[in-house]
Amino acid sequence: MLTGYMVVWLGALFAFAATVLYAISVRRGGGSLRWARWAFGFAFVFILATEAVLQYALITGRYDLQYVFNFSERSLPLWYKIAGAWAGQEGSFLLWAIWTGLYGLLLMRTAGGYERRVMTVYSALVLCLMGILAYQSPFAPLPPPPEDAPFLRANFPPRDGIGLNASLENIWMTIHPPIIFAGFAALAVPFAYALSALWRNEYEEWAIRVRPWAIYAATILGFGLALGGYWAYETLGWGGFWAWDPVENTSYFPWLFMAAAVHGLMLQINRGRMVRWNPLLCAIPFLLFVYGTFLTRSGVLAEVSVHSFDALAKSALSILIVMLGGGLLLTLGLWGWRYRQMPAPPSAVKVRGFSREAAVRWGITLLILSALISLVGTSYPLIARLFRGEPVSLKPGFYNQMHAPWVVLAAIVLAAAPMLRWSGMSLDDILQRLTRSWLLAVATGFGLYFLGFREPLTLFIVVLLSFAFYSNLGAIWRRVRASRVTVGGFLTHAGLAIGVIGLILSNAYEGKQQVVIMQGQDMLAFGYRWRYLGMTGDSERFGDPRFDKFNRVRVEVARHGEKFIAEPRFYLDRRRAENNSVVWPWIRRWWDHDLYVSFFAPPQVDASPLIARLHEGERIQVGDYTLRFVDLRADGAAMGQEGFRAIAQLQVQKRGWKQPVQVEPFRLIAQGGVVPIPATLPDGAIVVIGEMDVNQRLVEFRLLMVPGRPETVPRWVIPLEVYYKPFTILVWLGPPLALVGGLLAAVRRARDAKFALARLYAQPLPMVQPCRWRPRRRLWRWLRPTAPTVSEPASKARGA
Amino acid sequence: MRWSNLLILALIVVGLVFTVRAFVENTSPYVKVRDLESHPRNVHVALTPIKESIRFDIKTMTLTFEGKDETGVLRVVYPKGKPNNFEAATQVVVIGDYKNGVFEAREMLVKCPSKYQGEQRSARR
Repeated sequence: MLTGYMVVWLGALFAFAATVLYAISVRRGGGSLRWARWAFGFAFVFILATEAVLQYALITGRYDLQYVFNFSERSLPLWYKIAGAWAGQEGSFLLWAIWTGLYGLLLMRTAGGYERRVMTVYSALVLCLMGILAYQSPFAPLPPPPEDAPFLRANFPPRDGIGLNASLENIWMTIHPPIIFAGFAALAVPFAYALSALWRNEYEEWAIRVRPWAIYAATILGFGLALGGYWAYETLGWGGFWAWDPVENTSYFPWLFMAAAVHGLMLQINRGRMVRWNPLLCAIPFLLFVYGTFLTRSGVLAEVSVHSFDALAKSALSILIVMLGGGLLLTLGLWGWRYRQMPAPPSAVKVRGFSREAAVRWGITLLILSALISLVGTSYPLIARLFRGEPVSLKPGFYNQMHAPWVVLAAIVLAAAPMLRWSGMSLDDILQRLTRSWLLAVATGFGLYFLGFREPLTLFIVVLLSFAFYSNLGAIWRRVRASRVTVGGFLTHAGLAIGVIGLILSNAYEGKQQVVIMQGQDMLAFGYRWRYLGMTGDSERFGDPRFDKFNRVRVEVARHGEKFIAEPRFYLDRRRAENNSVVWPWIRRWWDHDLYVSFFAPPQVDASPLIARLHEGERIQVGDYTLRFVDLRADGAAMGQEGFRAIAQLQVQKRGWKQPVQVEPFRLIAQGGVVPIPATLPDGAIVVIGEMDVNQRLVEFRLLMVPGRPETVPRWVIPLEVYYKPFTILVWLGPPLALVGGLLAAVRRARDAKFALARLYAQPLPMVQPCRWRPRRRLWRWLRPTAPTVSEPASKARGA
Repeated sequence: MRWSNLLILALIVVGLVFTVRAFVENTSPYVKVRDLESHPRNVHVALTPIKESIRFDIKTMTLTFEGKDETGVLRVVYPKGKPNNFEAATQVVVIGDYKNGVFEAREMLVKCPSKYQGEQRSARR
């Protein structure tokens, strides 16, 4: 698709122009700056145009394009056709580029004196992304099928696509990728700022400017992670939110480093600490994300991850490697070179006892420690491959074990931080301040103990985390009347604490049982009686209800006075190379627990048919029947292609019948799989073709539903896996709280930046502008930072 | 001062020991059938299933089969049903423990000929 290629290349061209012009403007300024802005604007326009062309191709069904063929199909609802734009890897790179471009526009307007340098770095990143898209294009044509597949060649280009991977056809799929890529893309801004600060050799202004961006990036990336967890819980059917999968980890460790950077910037702006480390902390998250993208997209981890991505094209992969290697060298090189020129930290002011500064330092250390654990764990298959040749991944147990002591320390720090003063306080004072939260936490612990949560280590961790929760709640309570805008950080911490409590409780105290239901027999599990009712799949059309995408397995679940129908979905996806079981679990929610119904194996048919193996022309006696295999013929499409039928003509005589009957069971190739289509005998029995050897003209016939032989009646066996998961509600509660808190903090720091910069350069403080639009003014009043102290000693200020 | 240094050193040592232990407990290496006696717990074994030995008890969803590699034959019990492409499998990787002459598989990865075709296709692109 030429238009598609053209807009991508034009986008790359303008991104290149923006990079060069911004680089020139660093020295010259003036005219080239104006041109650079235009160039970046056009680059963004062409990124949007790329998305528009891709959407056009998806919606109008251009199945001659490889991307559209692989990730869309005619029968898909419009909404999922649109979501197809980020189902594959080309599309997700495009999503990354869109967000990056959008942030770029905002950055251009807000970076002030930093614009030229920041945008030079930033445009270069956009250029890299467009370069990847140019080589790994979503508009590549579908390669023609090989010579030996005449059927496929006749129908080329295809009129329909393979369709979205069934586990992605889900409401979360439409939300989760755009949000998480909003987070990934936001990591580029702190990276660009960090490099620019090192380039400019200036270490105060940049921290003020980058702070709201850093908070925003950490917040939105964290929320994207949570959404990914919800998606896994709702659709993957293994009964959990987080599995330490490599792809999950690649968004986890950048997030932790970003959070560390947020706290580092806080220490710098409030206490003048960490000045030399912050550029590094701000640059690392982006580099780690690129590294993670490399790990998951290069095919290194293909065998150990559930998120399957094909390997990238060579040229696209090399751009990614250049991005990673170049970025890393540039960052470390610049940082090492500038290290000695950076302002030394102020001589330590003696603080007594414990201070908030110490708590924040501990927090940063812990965040980095957790990031390193998951970084090493995720890279392990790569390391193992280098040394042993076999890619072996670490089990999730590794991360859980490593984080058990970690979460104890983290909870204590999280609980103490809001109660500590910057100037430090004595142990007695802190303990006094923390008493109330601690009592509440212990009470919670007793409550849980009486509810039956008794495993000591887990209970201990949960009590500590609820201690952190109450402590932050207390901090919010005390501040909310004085200045609502300052509660952001505490709200985030409270949300995180409660979310992690939910994760731990729902995982450590889950009940899990395999319930194998036989059709016609009741089962008892979890105090319920389980009865199989049927499947909703269209077996007429597909030959087997399990091949229907909308197949639901209906199970009646009852206990005295309570009855409901569980309907987990099961589908055998045969559109791709192998039969792929797709499961949508069924979840019933109560306020305190979930009942989660999934499958541990595909539903299967149990029957002991009468079996007759016959060569063409042979005759055999089975039970009361005499079978004669008359002939085998082919019909429909060409051999082995869609629509091909292998028909066996069979003559059946049963004792007591006046004359033999002729039946024609056959095997049909449909949707890439072989479907046996049965034939019915006058007495109600059915004949199905089992195995067949076309060359030897040998067919195995199976007689089912034979009157008087109950073992030949096929019965469904439903292998359910049922989970009882307590307090999942907390997992749903935590992340939204953290999101609100984080956004609040980001907005607050963006507002603060104006005052802080004015103070830094000793300019008159900006006036609160009168607004014409009333609602906005109200919002502004609500968000107004606490009035800056004008009497700030002028000694700190530098010449403008 | 010396005491606090010593304390930090002790903490680091404890942390390292803890890390190494977590590593060892949670990696599961590939092992040949012959070496199972010495490495019985938590291993990957790559096997070719022997068609005639496959038994499946549908009431308990337990699959038992024998598989072989270059070094020997191994009896495997897998309690999580029969994967739908198991019959066509040319190689399976079982993950679990070896106990009393039987390999108790917790997880099983099935490799089919068709999958390799799929991989070839994507590699060609």
